Amino acid sequence: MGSFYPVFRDIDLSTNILLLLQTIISGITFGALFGIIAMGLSLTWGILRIANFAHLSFVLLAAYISYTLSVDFGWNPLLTLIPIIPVMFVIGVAVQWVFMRYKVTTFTSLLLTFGLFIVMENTMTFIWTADQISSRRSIPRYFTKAIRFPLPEPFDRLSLLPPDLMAFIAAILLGGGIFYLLRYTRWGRGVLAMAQDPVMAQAYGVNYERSALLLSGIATSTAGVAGVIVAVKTSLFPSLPITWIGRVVAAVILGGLGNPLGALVAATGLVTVEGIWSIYRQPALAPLISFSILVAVLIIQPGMRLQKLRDQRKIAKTLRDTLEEQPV
Amino acid sequence: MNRFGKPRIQIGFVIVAVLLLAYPSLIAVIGVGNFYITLMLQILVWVTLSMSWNFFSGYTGYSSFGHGAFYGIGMYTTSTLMVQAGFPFLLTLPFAGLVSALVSVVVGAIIFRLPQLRGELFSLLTLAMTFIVATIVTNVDWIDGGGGVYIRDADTAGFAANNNIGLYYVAVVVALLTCYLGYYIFQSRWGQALFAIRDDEDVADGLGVPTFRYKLLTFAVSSFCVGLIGGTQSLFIGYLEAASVFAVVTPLIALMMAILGGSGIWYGPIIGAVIITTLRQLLTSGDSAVLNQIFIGLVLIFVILFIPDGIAGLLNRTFGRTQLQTAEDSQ
Repeated sequence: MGSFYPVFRDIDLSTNILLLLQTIISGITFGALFGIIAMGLSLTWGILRIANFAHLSFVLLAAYISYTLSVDFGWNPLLTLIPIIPVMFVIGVAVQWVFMRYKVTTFTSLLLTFGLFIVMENTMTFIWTADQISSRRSIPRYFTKAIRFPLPEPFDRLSLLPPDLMAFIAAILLGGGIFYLLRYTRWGRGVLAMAQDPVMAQAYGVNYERSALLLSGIATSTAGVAGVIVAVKTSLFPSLPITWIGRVVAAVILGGLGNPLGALVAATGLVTVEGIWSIYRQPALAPLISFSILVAVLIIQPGMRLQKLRDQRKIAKTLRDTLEEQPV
Repeated sequence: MNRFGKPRIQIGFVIVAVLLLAYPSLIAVIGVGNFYITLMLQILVWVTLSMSWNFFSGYTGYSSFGHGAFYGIGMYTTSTLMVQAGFPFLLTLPFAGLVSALVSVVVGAIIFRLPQLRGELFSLLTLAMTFIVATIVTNVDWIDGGGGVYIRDADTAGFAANNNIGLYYVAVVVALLTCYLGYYIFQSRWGQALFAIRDDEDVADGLGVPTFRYKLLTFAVSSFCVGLIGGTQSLFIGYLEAASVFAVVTPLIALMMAILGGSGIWYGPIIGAVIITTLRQLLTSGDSAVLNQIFIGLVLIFVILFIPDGIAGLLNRTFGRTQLQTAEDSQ
């Protein structure tokens, strides 16, 4: 997506702190966009064991639909969420239905969705051409004009782009919503049980098929939200999702598969680190950061150990709870 | 039979070699035009790619998405040596293979040590490697530096001249070598070890198969072959550009050809590569790259859903030879 960060050519020492602050603010808010994408992927990958690569294509599809509605039909970009979310929900349900119908394994799902990724990329090229298109000129100015912070000198020079703010708010709402759904609803508890052991969950009365379809629908709906933000934020072109793969996959794995909030945090972290790297070193090499961190973490694997520890504690707690519930 | 395979198949290899070497003269005699040389050259390139993908990924079950990177490394090694160092084309090929193999050993040594990086994580990490290599190539000035490399001018020996006839013979040698390797591995102890890894790696490990060593060796051999054919293809393309050299779709096409043909059998990739390359060339002459890609994606989806064990598997089932018998035949 080109350069996301303001490029400061002549850095003098006094602006250095300001620049770092600005980069961190932009990194966290812009990283939230990747966080939303990573959350959806983490849900289906971790819980349904479907590595849905086409999730990234769905984001771009939503972005293109939002673009067409707002540029050609003059809608407010936020209003485009109203048709996009249900459409994406249906797509998510349909994809999951196909996977269950053909009893697709995790690995095969990766191949299948990669095939779908290519088909979608080229279909979108067919419809929207391979040129870069941007909705900047056609949408209200408050979507594109940077927001200045009402702070004293020199901090009043810090600013925030509206799409980044949108991404940040959306990430908090979606992350919180998904967390609530999974933790505090009956359906969500069932889904978490499915993630641990689908067969046992079904034996205890979880309707796997219905829960899985719903979960996939929700995950793909979040892709729709991300798409609307992408359409406001950058110019669109069909091969855009390829540039996201690195960060998103790194965030999903670092955050822990099936842990949407972890993916969100990891994504904001990665994008911020990339931003900081871009100030001091060659910006062109920034995409390597996510992978280097990912590879390093995979080799050292602190996350895996933490997860293991957490699992052990969880099992111990469940055991205690069940023992307390049923006095012998 | 001896340890290098069945005589029947060895004779088959010799016959195919003779036919392939005689093919340009046949074309000239019939007078159907040079398109058929280019077509056969591309078929040989894709046979090599999907064959080498298959004897690593198909046999072990570790599906590599990183073969695009090795292919690109082969291309850029040849181009850099020819353009920057003035090497003759043929001398660059061993380096193209070795550099690819070296990178694969480094990557493999990290990834294969970690037992949780199996299945889809292996695929994604090797894909990630492709992006890393592409970023490095784009940013290092003496390799590419972002502007692309024009390699045809350095072709003083004229391999690409006279309708790529020199390249054709090189591709014949590389493709035959790769196919023979694929066959050799399939019917030897080496192959048995790889199949054991595919079926259940922990059990194989427990029974004393040195799985790490076998995976690393096969990964290196596979990327060596890919590097060789990458070097050959670089001169055919003439102009290298990182975005198209490291295209995500390259390893997918190789993988799809192998699965379409039948990834569990050594000759599967040959069937797949011949069919897909011919169809793609016909579609490209219809002048639409977009349709071509949509076609590839749809075939990939179709093949995985409906014929997961490929055409070779389908034939075997139809003619009553089960997987088990095939395996016994190869003993």
